[in-house]
Parts: sequence; C-alpha cells; structure tokens
Amino acid sequence: MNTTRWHQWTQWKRPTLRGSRNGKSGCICFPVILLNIFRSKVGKVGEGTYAVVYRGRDASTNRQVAIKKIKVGQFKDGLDMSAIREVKYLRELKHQNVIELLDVFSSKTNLNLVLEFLDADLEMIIKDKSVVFLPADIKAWMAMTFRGLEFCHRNWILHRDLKPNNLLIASDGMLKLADFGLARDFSDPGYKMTSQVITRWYRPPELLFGCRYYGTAVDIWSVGCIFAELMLRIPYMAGESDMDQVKTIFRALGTPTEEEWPGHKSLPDYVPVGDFPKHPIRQLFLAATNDAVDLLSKCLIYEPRRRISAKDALSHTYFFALPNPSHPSKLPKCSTVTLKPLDEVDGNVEGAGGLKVKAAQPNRLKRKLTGPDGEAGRSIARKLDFTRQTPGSPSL
Amino acid sequence: MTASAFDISSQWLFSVQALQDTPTEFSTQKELYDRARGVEFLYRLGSSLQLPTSAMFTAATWFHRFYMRFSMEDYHRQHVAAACIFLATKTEECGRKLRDVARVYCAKVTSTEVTSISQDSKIVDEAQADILATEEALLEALCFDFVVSSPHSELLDLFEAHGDDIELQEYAWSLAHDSYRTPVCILYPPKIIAAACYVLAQRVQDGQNSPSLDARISSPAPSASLPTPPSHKPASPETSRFAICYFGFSESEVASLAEALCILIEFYGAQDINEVHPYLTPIATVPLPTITTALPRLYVPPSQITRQGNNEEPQPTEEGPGRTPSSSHGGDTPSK
Repeated sequence: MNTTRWHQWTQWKRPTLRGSRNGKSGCICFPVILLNIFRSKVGKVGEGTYAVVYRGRDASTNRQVAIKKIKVGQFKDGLDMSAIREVKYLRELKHQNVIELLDVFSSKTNLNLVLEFLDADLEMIIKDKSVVFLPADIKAWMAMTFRGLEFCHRNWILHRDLKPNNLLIASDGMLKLADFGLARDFSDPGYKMTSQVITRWYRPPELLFGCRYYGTAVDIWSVGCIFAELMLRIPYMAGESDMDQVKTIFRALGTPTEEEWPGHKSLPDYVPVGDFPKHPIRQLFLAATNDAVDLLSKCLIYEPRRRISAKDALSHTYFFALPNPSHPSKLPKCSTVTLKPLDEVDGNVEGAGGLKVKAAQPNRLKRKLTGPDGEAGRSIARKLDFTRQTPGSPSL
Repeated sequence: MTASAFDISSQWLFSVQALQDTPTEFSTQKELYDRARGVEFLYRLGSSLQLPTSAMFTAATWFHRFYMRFSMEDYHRQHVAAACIFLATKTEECGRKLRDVARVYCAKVTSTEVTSISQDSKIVDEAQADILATEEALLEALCFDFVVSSPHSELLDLFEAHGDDIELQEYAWSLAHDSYRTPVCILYPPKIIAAACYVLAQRVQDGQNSPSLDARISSPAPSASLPTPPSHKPASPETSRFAICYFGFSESEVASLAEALCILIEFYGAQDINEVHPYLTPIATVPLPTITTALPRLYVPPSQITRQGNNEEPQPTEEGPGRTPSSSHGGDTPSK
C-alpha cells in the first residue's frame, strides 16, 4: 500500500495533474472529482467574512456540491481558525445528520472545502409563514438534531454554534448540523475554554456568566431554544445584548435559586439582574404535549450538570409517543426558493459546451490519472488554479 | 473512530524503503540527521512558547509528514518546524500570536533571549512572512489532516493497566518524546511505538543481564509450552512481556515492533555518547532485536555523514547531534 501511495504522490507532483482545461466543453477538469463551478448566490455561509460559497457538481456522481472557498492569504495570522476547525472536525465526522465534507483541496491562495449541497436551513422554514408545522414535523427535526448532536458529543466534539440557520435541510428533508467554525474537542475537563461562543439567543446562562469550564450541556441549551422556537415560530429568548439576554432568560424561566443552580453566583461574570418569578413553562406552549414540554424543560435546566444529555434525550418518551415523527420526505419545505433550481443551471452549461462531451471526459481523465489506487485518491490534496475563469460558465 | 478516519491515518504510514525515496536529494542519513535537528528546534520553540506537549507531538508528526512530500533543500527545517508549531497552536486550541511565534523563532535562530528581540524589528517581520509562506506548503502537504494520535495516549493506558513504578514510566515517557526525533511516527502506528518505548524502557531499567529484547517481544507460544529452567527465570516473564500481551500483537506487528526498536536504538547509538550525552550509553548499547527483513542503515555518527548533491555546507563536527546550530549554515532561506 505504501508504495502505491508513493507512486501516486510522485504523479501528483507532475504538472499535468493540476487543473487542466478541457477546451471543448469549457470546463475545468481535475482528477477524481470533476466539478463545474458557477458563481451563484448561495446564501452567505460563514457570514461571508472569510469565505465565498460556490455551487458546483461532482461530475462523476452528478451530485450537487457546495464549494466553500476560503482565502488563506488574506489573514495576518495565516489560515483562519474557523476554517481549521471546520476542516479538522468535518474530516472526522461522518453521519447522516452532519453535513458531509466531501473533499478539501488547495489552490494557490485558497482553501476549498467541498461540502454536500443543502438548499435550505431551518431558519428559512421557521420564518416562512406560509408553511404550517405539524407536531410530528417538529418531532422529526428535533430527533435529527439530537441524533447529529449525539454523534458529535460521542466523538468528543462540541458544536458551540447551534441555531436554526446552522441546521441545514437537504432536498430529501434530512436535517444536518453545519458550520463547525466554532467547534472544538473537549476531552480534558480541566482545560479552559472561551465563553465567547454560541449566538446570543441560543447561549446558555453559564456562558453568559463567563464560565470557562463547560461541556456538552452548552449545546443542549441551544437545542432547547431551537425546540421552543419551532413551536413558537419566533425566537424564544431574544435578548438585545449579553446583559439583556440574561434578563430575558430569567424573565422566561424565573431567576434561579442557589438550590436550582448551586454556585452560579460565583461565576466570573455573574451580576444579579433582579428577581423574576417562575411561570410554568406550560403556559407559553399551550398546544404542546406533556412529553414535549417535559423534554423542553429538561433542555433548559439552569444547572448544566442536570441538563439532559443528547443520548438521554433520544430515548425520551417524547420521541416514542404519538404522533410519530414525520418521514423526512414529508417534512414541510420552504416555499420561497432563493436558489435557482439545478435544472436551470444545467441548461446553461449545456448551452455552453454540451453535457455529453463532458460526461465522457471525466472517465478518460480518471483512468489516466488516478492509476491503480483510484479510491484512495480522495484524501490527496490536489493543486488547482481557480484564477482561470471558465469561459462557458454563466455569471449568475 | 469511523472507517474514513482510519483510512486517513493509514495514508500516513510509509515503508522504511520510502525514507530513501523522499524528495530530498541528500543521503538518507543526512536527511534523518537534519530531521532530528529540526525536531529538536521544534521542541525548543514549543517549550519556549509553553505549549502543551501534545501540540508539540502533533507538530513533530507533521514535520516528518511534510518532508515525505517536500524536500529539505526547498524548505529549511527551521521554517518548517516553526510553521508546524504555529499551525499546531491553532488546531490544538492553544493559540499563540504569529508575532510571538516569530519572535521566539528569531531568538532561537540567533541564540539570544526572546526579550532582546524587539516587537517590530525587521527580522521578526521576515520570520512572520516565512512562517506564513511555509504554512501554505505545509497545509498542502498535510492534505488538511490535522488529527494526529501519539504513542503517549497508548502509554497512559499501559501505565494504568500495569501500575508500574514511576521510574519506568518516566523512562518510557521520555523515550516516546525522543521517538519523534526519528521518523517512527510515520512508519508505525502509535501502539507499536508505545510498545517499543515501553519494552526498551524495561530493558534499560532491568539492566544488561535481563532478558534480551528478542525474548521480551517473542511470541509467547513456544516458551509457554516448554519447561523453563528455574534458574533462567528472572523478573517474571509476564512483566517483561507485559506490553506485548496487553496489546495482543500479531506476528507482523511484532516484526514492526522489532524494526521500531532497531531504529530507536540506532538513533541513540549515533549520538555522541562519549562526550555530550554519556547518559545515553545504557540505551545505545542494548543489543538489537533480530529482524526478519534487513533495515537500511539509517543512522551513522554525524562525523560520518556524507551528503549527496551539490551543497557545500560544512560538516557539522563540533555540535552534538540533534542540536540546532546557532548559525544558519549558508542555506537558511530556501531557494525561491
């Protein structure tokens, strides 16, 4: 095996392997995956601060992919931390409810992540008032969220940025955890971590109080907030500032007593924000079943150690009671599609070069380039030159 | 973890033969000598920056992986070591500012105190640019595989299972540190290296008249069935064979273990044990285990190192091996 690898490596060094252009069809070809790359306005993944997302297609499987192009050179500290985290963790995590990182490759000054293409996120669906959610739909989304999260936690990875717009929805309805730019591993309990993580509305009170030692419970709080948001159709606890967030939480759930959350008053950034009475959580969620309210309140327990774990949540009675969760394919979809459907994109390409010509190309290319160890070629980074614009590609 | 994670890690194990086919044009001995110096430099950077040791081991593994894909003529070991350290601070969540890494780098290269390097001197700027440029090549060489496992976690399991005395643990632990000076981390999985360090530590601790390495790593079957003369039964065989039994190695794994032991011992043997590192003598003089396939000679004393290619760098004679020279040896900046 080693010799094959070596052989492959020497091949890799040859200039012929770098993105060679197929003149006839006008697309950039490169080994193993052949992608047609379009500039398309695919949402602002990563807030557009460090990456541009392109839509492409894996020509060997005809699968849509998203290409997250990250400029390496533009940061004064080299490759950005969030890019590193994303690559580091997504390379390891393979699960049906976690976004799949199909490949990573570097071009001259860019790092390119090839991710599975997902067309919607949960935030879009929650905000789309024309869509009606059934309790069974909410249950299905929650189950998929917990499954993905349980897998991360089982592998000692904290997500640290769960919110509806990081829960992406595939065209077949599957929900997937995405954006691992803040994720980290947490094996060592004595290791100080930053409390400046998780989007404010989904941030648990211990982080708002500056807790530096925490664990999986921080993600569970976020999931609790998402659960509530799915039922209410508006963000459950939307604070305007970090301080206001604490107040909002206490107003919603009552100010915690020392018994409810031992020691919280000695957290680094603890400030008393007033005494708010406790209302039964039930009052706000009138339509929810008892099981749903029970699971929600277990996700929103103040004391992090008593908060339910992802694993226990999955065996909570809520998931076994009727109604059964909807099948992913039956889940409601966003009515306003912000993206051009792929068919249309295909049409453009065909007009430019002809799909059939290209379809034949990758096979020939593959046979020639990958040699005896075609499968394994996946993990080898390849050089590409994205600076050359594809003449046939439409500028959307 | 998952099947794919396994595939990724196995991509990074090379055959011993591959060490002779690296992109570096030097002789293999010269390359390995320079790698050892690079790792020494890397350790020194890491400890000055007070990084956790796990970050240094990750960086050292990358250092070896890098030179399987790029040549030492193109990328100077000190640049690569600094880039590995810098990248490791990012992936291991122990962030250090690039400027700080660059300052420590300059201090080590010029053999001065870090405090004497001013924040905004020109050499720091240059070092920063070099580190960033090397980081790009490093990322490419690593194929963005950031997760690396070290023999230390396996050793911890061993210690826990055996409840050894502290001295043996310290021996094995230090040997595992030193193992990164050799390329064993890209030749064998962490388990094998951990076992090699443990067995070697036991042998050194038990002294010259204890069972040979061969006896310690041989398959248990024959000796268990044969009656052993009572006189020939020192420090219970279970103890001396503990690591092998613990990991339950197969025959081919034991063969790898023997090779790893040979490489480690030869590495120590090539050090200047007479003058600079006399304390290495007990390790360096351990008789090598028998191996089935002959290993190429990887380590020779530095005075005997010949280099192929056209470099006119003077032979480092006065320095102990593994020591980074204070001067930059003419070819400090890689030819662009």
